[in-house]
Amino acid sequence: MPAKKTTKKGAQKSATKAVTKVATKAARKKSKTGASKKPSTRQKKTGRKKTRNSKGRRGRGTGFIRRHLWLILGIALLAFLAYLFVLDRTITQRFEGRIWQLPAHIYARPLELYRGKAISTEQLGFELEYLNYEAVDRLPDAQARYMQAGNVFQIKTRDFVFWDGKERSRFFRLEIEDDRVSRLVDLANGQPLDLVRFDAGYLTGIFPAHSQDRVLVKLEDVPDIFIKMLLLIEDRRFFSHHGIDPRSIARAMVVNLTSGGAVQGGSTLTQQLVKNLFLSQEKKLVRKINEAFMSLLLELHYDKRLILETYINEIYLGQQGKRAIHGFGLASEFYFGKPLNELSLDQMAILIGMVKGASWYNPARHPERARERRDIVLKTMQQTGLITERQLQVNMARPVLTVKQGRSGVYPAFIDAVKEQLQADYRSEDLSAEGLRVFTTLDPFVQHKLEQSVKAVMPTLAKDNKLQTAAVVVSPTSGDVLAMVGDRQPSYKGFNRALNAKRQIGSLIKPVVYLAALEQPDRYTLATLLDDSPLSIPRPGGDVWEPENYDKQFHGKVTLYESLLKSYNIPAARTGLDLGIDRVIDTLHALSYPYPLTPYPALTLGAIDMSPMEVASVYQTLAANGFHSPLRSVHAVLDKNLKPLERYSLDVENRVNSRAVVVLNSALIDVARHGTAKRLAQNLPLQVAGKTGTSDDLKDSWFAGFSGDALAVVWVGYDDSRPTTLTGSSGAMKIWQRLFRSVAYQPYALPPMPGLEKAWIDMKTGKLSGQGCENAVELLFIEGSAPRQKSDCSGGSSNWFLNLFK
Amino acid sequence: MPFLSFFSSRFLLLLVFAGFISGCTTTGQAPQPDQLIDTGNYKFDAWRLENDPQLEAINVLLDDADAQIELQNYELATDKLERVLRIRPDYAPAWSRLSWLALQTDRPKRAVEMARRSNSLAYTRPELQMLNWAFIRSASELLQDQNLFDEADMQIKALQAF
Repeated sequence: MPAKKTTKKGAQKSATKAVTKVATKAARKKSKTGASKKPSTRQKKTGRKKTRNSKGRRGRGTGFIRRHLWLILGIALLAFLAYLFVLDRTITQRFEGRIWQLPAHIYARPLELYRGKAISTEQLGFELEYLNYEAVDRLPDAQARYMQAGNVFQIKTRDFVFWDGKERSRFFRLEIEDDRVSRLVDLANGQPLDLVRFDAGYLTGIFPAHSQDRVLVKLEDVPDIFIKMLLLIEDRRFFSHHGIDPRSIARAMVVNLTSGGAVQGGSTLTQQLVKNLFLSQEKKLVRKINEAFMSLLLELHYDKRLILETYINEIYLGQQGKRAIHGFGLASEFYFGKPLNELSLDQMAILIGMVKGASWYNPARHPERARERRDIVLKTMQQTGLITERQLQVNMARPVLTVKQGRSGVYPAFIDAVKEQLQADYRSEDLSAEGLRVFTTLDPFVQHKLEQSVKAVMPTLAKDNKLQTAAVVVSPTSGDVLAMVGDRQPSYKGFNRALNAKRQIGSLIKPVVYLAALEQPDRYTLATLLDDSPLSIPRPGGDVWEPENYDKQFHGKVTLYESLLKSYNIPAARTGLDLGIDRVIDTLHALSYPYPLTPYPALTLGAIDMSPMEVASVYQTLAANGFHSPLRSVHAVLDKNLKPLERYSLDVENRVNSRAVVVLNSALIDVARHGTAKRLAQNLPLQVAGKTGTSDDLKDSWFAGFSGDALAVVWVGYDDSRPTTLTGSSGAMKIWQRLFRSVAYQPYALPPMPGLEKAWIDMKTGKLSGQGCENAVELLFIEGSAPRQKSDCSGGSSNWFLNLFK
Repeated sequence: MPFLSFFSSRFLLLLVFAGFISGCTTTGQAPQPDQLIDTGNYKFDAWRLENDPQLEAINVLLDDADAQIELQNYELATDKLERVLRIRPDYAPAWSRLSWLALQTDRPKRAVEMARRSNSLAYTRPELQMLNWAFIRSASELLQDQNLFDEADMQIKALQAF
């Protein structure tokens, strides 16, 4: 619905009155001139040829008509007025209310650039292409253009309205060195530029049932030349007729008669709008009559400019699957990747040419037809003096180029998460009708790389294509969901495993169990020796639970650290049982798992079903050193007039002992270096922390890990829970590793937190050792909790003063 | 098995002490946190910026946030600060400002959590820690949480004594 509506007050009443007046006068005139007498004469003449009975009936009938003509005319008049009234109500109700159901439009996060920002030339190139910026070989002279020479970019961004206001177009030069922005200069004044925010890339829409999509434009934002061109081609006398144009109709009739077919239409823009908004497309006389009356009524009620604006937003201009492209605003974005006011003359001519037949002249599918039609439009413009001969030649020489299509709906898993978050605050009918603008947290580059990783790795994991996967990438510090995949075919819109597949998490639970232990530093540290010997726990049903290690071996006494690195099951189970399973559940809840759990021993080994999204939420708390931020997919929502509606602010809560988390994370770093995920250290250039997970019988392969700037959880398995041949490291971790090679820039670094200390520990005995001693590993402890007993070897640098400066 | 370079707690204490001494020499006597809050002057010394290659971008956003605070547009100011944190998630003064903003908008629980987050990153900034504890103490009064008040009060006194 256009923001500005110019309704003529009382126009409806006065129009109805006027029509009534004219009709009443006509009725009176007829009754005065004795119209009732004439039919009786006619009856006598014709009655002679009929039988007596029929004569009598006819005589009675005509007599009735003659006697009641005034009544019949009155009824006819009333019927006509009722007809007009119905048409009038149809028009005014639609125009006074919501003309259109506007889908919500969903956007990715905006790219922000500043000196020091980690970004590769590959990523920047991707982002510019994603935003449909046009690469040019000269300095950009219009918005959304850029010139690249190696690692130097000169870019002119688009104006864009965000939650916090309008971001104006910036024209700047940017240099990238060592995958970081090294220089940023404002080309408008030659001064260093501190910060640039790009426009947010369009992801998709949430459509109403009829799937019409449109981007509303206001008439004042439509280029003047575009309006002139449109009226020239579609309705030259738009501003002088009253809804229907007899001259156009006559001209069209002559042309059609002489050519022997329907080659020209005589419909005005108003008639076209009426047909599109209220009537069917069938070619029937009744429809044409309705169209004519409704056009007259529409013009009677509403201002020409509103009608023109409505036409510009209503016109059908193509189809993408179920999505119907309506209005020049959306068509401009859809075909050329830029707003209407940024189109070149030839692009405008293509769109206007499409009015004649959106499918036939579709520039993406039929560029040659579109070119021919465009040239007709341009020539007409030149003939009427709207453009010069030179402009004509220049524009006719341009090729018909459209932006790549098919982006809409390509991130179905992420969009599900967006809908899930929005449904807490908005009814689904509002999402598909109120024209909301939703600004999400999606990072298109991370999403792109995640999809690439899934597509590249999955075929290598199994020969059949039934093996499935799901993955979630989030910002460890804010909980922003950066990317999501819910199927091995990332564009598949069906079951979203990232949100809805609840699978056993296996060893991913172990960090939770050990965190519960490390929160009690007087009882447990990384150096605590755990018992890895056979364990039997009677179950209520009479059978016995006897957990095994993956290698089917027992390792005797092992430190908690080694047990975590090698993902031994029995020590983890013993620790959980020693702490109390309720304690483990409490820790899991503190880490954000929301559902109640029944305490049973196998829970300590991950016999608990969770979705990748839920696992990501738990691990986010670990990656943020104990500070949980609820995962969010939406930052802000604007209404259709670009006014802020809702902002989803960053929340944080200290859920668990941060020092214990940092101690745990120090071991998770070593899992990725020397433990079950040691292949990561060989393949990643930066420090990460993580944990593999494998459920019983290899049914589920998991990996959850984080760098300083990204956390990802990946699951691989079969939907019917049949065994795979994959462990966490041979399955899910491969996808994770490939992803992090291209999206992680910041290493995960342990925070220099007070209240922690390091000590060299003998892995065999769990006692203090020294650097250089056999089996000595430097471990982190909550201050005061390091072992005091010394092993036989004290090493060469156990001096606390020297340790102070390590 | 080598770890990445990691400060021992003793070394950290030395750093904290050095930082505090240098802070005192530039600003004179450490300000009373209650006074800082009550004055309504939100540009606390403890929020002074650090040297960083991303500083220019952060500065722009902090200036924007300040401008919005002047206009009492606290939601917009919060939005600017969250953008700062997207650039530098470990920027403790921004978390601290969010705590102050939460106090201004009567969200004491949020103020406590933001201040705690700031403190978890402000190991070498006793003046910032003291300010954050002052925010927590104010929030505890709104929450009517005596234990939290006592904890905050104790931390403030310890930092002042230090």
